Amino acid sequence: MRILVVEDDLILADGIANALRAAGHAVDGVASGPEADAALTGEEYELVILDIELPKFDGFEVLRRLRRRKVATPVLVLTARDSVHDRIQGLDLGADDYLTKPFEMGELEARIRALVRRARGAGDDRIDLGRLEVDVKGRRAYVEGRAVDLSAREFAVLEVLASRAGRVVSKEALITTVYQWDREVSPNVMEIFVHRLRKKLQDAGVGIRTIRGLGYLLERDA
Amino acid sequence: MLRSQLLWRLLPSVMVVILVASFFAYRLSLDMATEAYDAALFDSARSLAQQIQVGGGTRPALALPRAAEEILLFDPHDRIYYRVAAVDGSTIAGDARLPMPPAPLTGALPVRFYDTRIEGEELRASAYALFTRGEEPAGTVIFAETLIKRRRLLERILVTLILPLVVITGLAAGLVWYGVRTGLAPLNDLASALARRESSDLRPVPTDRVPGEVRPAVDAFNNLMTRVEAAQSAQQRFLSEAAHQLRTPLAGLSAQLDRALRAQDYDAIKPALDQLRGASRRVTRLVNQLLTIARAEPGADPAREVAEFDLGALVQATCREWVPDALAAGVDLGFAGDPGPLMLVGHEALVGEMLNNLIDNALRYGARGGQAVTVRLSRDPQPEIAVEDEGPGVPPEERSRVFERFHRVSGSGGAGAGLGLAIVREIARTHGAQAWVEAGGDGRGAVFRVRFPAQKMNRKPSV
Repeated sequence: MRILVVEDDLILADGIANALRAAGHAVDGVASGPEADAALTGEEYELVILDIELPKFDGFEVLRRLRRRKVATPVLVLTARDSVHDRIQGLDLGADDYLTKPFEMGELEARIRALVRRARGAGDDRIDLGRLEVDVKGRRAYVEGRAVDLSAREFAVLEVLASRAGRVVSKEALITTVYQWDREVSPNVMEIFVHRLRKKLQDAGVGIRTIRGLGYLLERDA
Repeated sequence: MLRSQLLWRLLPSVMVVILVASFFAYRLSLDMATEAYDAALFDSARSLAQQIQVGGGTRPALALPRAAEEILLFDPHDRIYYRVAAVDGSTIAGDARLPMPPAPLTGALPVRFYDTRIEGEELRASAYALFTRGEEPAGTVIFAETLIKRRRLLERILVTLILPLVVITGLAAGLVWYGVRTGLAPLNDLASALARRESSDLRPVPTDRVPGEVRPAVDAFNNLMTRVEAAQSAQQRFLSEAAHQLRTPLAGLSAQLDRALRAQDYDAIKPALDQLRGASRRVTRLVNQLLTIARAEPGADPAREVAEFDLGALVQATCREWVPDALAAGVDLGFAGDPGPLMLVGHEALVGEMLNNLIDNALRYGARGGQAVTVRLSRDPQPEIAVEDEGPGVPPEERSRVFERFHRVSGSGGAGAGLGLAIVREIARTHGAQAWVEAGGDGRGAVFRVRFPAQKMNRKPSV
């Protein structure tokens, strides 16, 4: 994938470019507003990583000019300023995501993956969790290749938990994926689903944790 | 300027009073003078009339000796005109150009004064009716004079009135000018003394020479100076403490970098890099905390967005974000309380930051692996967040000090800078909330509580 990195701090630009190259991307780097504008006028990129505090004119202006040319390339804005006002301005101008300095490279890479996936218009068809594989399109789950016998609602619950593996999903969010909004459902109903899922996924190498008062979290066994 | 302000307010009113008084005095003296001159004019007209014989015929005859005419017609200032007219308007004696009165004289009103003119010259005239013995109208005697002495009198009246007016006004202005100047002299001294001051000189202003009226203002100013000085020295201490706190992780960074640069192979570099990552995280956290403190200072953030937000949703979302960290540390992090909306007016981002610091504090110092941390949200009587842990607790003598900036409980270990709870207290304060720590319910662990003031509308109507 071809990525343009616009960053005037050379140490940071070098760090980003190296990490992205190591991940197999083609990276161009520029360090000022006009250079970025020129690069974006002449070349086509699949993603732009854009610093806001730039010499000559700032990243907001680069973004404004890019969007005025009706170019839809995803833009991830990097900035040391993280006030709500700055954030809103960036997103209003057509930034796709916002990352505050300093950040860790893993975070940047995850955001890039999400942006590109969104831009290409396709989510992952398959969620790979080691021994467990969730086939979102086929509505089936597999443990070491063998299909797990799940009801449609059990699968829906598993799909949400698996797509947010490692993060807490609230009971309410799970209930709304399984039931219509207008139906009055006791929150306890989710305990039954989770209980059944735990039983059926005993050898799947994942566990579903109950987080007190907050919901459930699916994690891979250590 | 106080001086010109006073003058502008005082002078017009003085002028108005003087003008109104002068106007009435002028009108009064003008009326009295006109009356006196008119009486003299009438006397002359009547004397002239007495010299007229009104016989049985219709035409009266004037028998005026030359000497008498001269006396009658003499006036040191004005020219005198007279005319004796018959009933048919024909002139018997005197100046025929002198106009008749505007309305004919009658028995009921035999005398009339009126303004008239001869060849453009303004005159004051007195007309006197003549009657026969049988009370039949016999003619009119008109006696008129120019206005020279009347005008002169008018001028004298005006001069004697306006001159004092000008003098009094000037005097009042001068008095105000001088009075205000002497009154404000101590203030001017004060202003120039303040203007000469160094920006670092925050000593109070001496109040012994300040006029009593200004004393409260100067006292308030001195009070402000004292508070500014306290705030400034607190800022200075904070800045230097913050810089010192940054030195330690930076020294660690530097040392680990040197170690990595000297290493020969990856296995030797790796531990140094891990340490570098840790040091960099500490610097990041410290800088973010410093920024949060700067943002929580009253008036620090111009784009401060205070609005109504759902504290219940914020608390639960924040807890969910911390669960992976808690799990990694083997801590059971949970939420307790009504999960429904709890509306609060405040700065949502800052309250979220406060929660982050409370949970971070509990995970760092409050709980070990296998222990639980519970975030409890209660509504009544006031919205309150409690973060309960099962750790060693905070000794009573430390309970107020843990909220101070850069204070760290001795022997607590960890790599914190002692800012987390200071952030909690400062954000609580900007929301009018109280933050404190107490022992856990069964004497075990610590409970950090933030109690918000009662909200006008606690709960959105449930849908």
